[in-house]
Amino acid sequence: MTNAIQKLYPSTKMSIVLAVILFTLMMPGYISQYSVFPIFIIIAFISGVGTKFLSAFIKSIFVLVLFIFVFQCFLIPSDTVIWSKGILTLYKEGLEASLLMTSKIIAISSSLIWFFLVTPIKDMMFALEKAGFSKKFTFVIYSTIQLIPQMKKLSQTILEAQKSRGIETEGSLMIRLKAFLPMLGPLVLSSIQQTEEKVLALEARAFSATVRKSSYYQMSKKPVDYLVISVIFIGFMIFVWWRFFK
Amino acid sequence: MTFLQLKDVSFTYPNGFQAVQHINMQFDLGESVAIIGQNGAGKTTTVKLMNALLKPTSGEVLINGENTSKFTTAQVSKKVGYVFQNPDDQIFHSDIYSEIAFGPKNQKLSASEVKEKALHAAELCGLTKWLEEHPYNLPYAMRKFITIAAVIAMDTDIIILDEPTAGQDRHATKLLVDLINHLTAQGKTVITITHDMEFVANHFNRVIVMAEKQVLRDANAREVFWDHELLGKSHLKQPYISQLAYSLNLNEPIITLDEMVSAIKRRINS
Ligand SMILES: Nc1ncnc2c1ncn2[C@@H]1O[C@H](COP(=O)(O)OP(=O)(O)OP(=O)(O)O)[C@@H](O)[C@H]1O
Ligand SMILES: [Mg+2]
Repeated sequence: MTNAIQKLYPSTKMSIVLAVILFTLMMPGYISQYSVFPIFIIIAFISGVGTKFLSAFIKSIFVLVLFIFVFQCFLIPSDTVIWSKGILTLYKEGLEASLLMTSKIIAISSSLIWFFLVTPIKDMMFALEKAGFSKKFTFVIYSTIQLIPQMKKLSQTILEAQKSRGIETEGSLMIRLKAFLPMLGPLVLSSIQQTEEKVLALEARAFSATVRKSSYYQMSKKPVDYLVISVIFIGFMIFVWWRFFK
Repeated sequence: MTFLQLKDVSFTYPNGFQAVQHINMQFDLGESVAIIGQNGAGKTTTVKLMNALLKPTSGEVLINGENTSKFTTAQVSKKVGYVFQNPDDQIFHSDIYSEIAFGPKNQKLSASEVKEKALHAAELCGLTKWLEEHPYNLPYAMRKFITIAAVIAMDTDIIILDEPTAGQDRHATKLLVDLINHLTAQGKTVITITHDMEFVANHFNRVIVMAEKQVLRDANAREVFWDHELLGKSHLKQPYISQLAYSLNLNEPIITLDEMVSAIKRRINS
């Protein structure tokens, strides 16, 4: 990890996210919220995760936003009709409601997606522990996050086992669904079993001992972290003053 | 007649890593063949290509003359049975009987045929007593036999055993040898991957040596274990008894204990 932005302390990056969330919620309208998105595309490219950012965004948020848009635009009836064709009618209120809603979702989610792309889980756990959370707490979070790639690997393994014993898994949606359902049981069971074994292995190495633990992995806040936090704090204060007191 | 053939097969994993390169192999029905080679040589990848869990990136895999690329893994599984290297990758039922009966059930056999095949396979693998148990209640070595039984029950022409000897005690190894003999006597082809050189020297004639993505040699065990250049290149060791014969300068390509005993006896008598 050589990128300066990626090297920022996790809570520094988190404060950027928090500032964006508060800004998004406090700011009226939707134009400034929408402009958060292109800004984060630029930040993501500077952080060296540009393509990952775009693909994560398109895969997750984009579909959701599109759905909300269509749903709200055409289904919330009001007096002002903007456009109409056949059974489809676009209402002014619906359009505005969906613009307001999706602009917030896009702004907040793009900051969060960026955060998770530039913050390794290891760093996050370290910062949480430093901030006073117990190792048990961080372990639960850690293993939950780990569970996702683990389950993906496991489901591939189970799929291989079933294929090689005569279960058809390729082809139509119906065939895939039929292969997927019997997989769920073993998937959940094996995941639990693997977690149990991991817990045993951890206990065997005194995971729950009450002594103070040292950490091999070290990271600390640097001057640049304080600088970034200060800039964000001051900028945000100015924004609050401008928005509510001017 | 050749039943299974790999013709100039190469395979690259989705992450871009090429695991095997220009592999050529042929197997007749009723053969027992060992595949040896160091970790990462590409053995598991090669056998997964045989049962169409993987499809070649280039080259072709032919079963009874038919290219596997036209078929799904499920279809190929009627001809080629694969016992996974790690039994826990294969087991997914909560009792041993269901695990063993799963394959024949998918072959749309009648209930009584399924039962007959499953029970027969369980018996061959010494599992009759444990059929109601949860697979995870048995130790690793026995879980391996559950997976072997599960594949035997499918009654395929070819049976691939991926490292069946790992962690097995003497009794289990004996069971394994009997099993392989029984299956080949029935006209099935058994392909065994193993890191146990003694096991290969004692029980196999034909040995395929793989190293660094390729097949280095396909020959009989004696030739393989006395080719020091080949062993060096593939990072394999001679069986202990051959090492002893070599150190003693016996000038005989010995690979089993019996051969050593008779060589020594001959020398004492002369
Ligand atoms: N799913 C995969 N994706 C990418 N690379 C893989 C995958 N599976 C295996 N490999 C790589 O391919 C190479 C050959 O692996 P393979 O499992 O065929 O070796 P092997 O001869 O069976 O070794 P071993 O004796 O350790 O079982 C290894 O370098 C391995 O890391
Ligand atoms: Mg292997």
